[in-house]
Amino acid sequence: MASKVAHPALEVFKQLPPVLARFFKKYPPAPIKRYASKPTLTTAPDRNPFLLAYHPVTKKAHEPKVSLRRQSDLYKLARQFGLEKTLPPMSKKFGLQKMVSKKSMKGVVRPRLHKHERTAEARRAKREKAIAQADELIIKVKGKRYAKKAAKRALPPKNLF
Amino acid sequence: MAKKQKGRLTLVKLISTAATGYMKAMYRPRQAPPMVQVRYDPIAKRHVLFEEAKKRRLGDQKVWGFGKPLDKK
Repeated sequence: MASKVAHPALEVFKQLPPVLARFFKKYPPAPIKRYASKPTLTTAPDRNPFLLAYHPVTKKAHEPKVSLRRQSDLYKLARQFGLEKTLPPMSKKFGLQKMVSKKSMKGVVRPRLHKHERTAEARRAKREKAIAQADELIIKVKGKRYAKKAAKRALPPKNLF
Repeated sequence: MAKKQKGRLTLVKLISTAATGYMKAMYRPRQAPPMVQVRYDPIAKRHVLFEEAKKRRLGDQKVWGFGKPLDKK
């Protein structure tokens, strides 16, 4: 009788750390079993242990079978063996994907600035308008004599020679 | 306690109409009419009108008339 030859994948499986091996025993890896990427009913055959699930009768949300902390541990462990893609889909992101998906803060995108910075442009415009109308205002208060004086002052200086 | 007597003079703040925020403070008789002056504003770099920044309670203004007295017709 020919002796049974073990599948090479099984040899790898035997080398896995017990935590990961226990998980894969309970929840077989991706090519063998597919898991839902969205929350399902608790009774669904493709219920994802990394996501919450709803009770079919009470519609109450049940916590994920594996906590976020343990999900991280499993992912990091699986990554050491190049098995991270065989894990069920998870809401958690790692590495570059995590960095990219991070929402930048409101204050970074559009800084609030100091009040003097926010109002600088409006104040400058107000000042320029007021300076442009300064002569008119002085003439209105001081009378026509000031207007004559101002007109005289605006003329180029007369040279004696 | 008796009420404190107000002084004859009051501090007024003359503010530039050029909206530069430049101002000058000076003492004026309390009853004097509001002051308007043409002064140099170093921020605007020119002479502009300065007005009193705050409204004051003025006393009865004496009307100076050199013609017929107003009450006699």
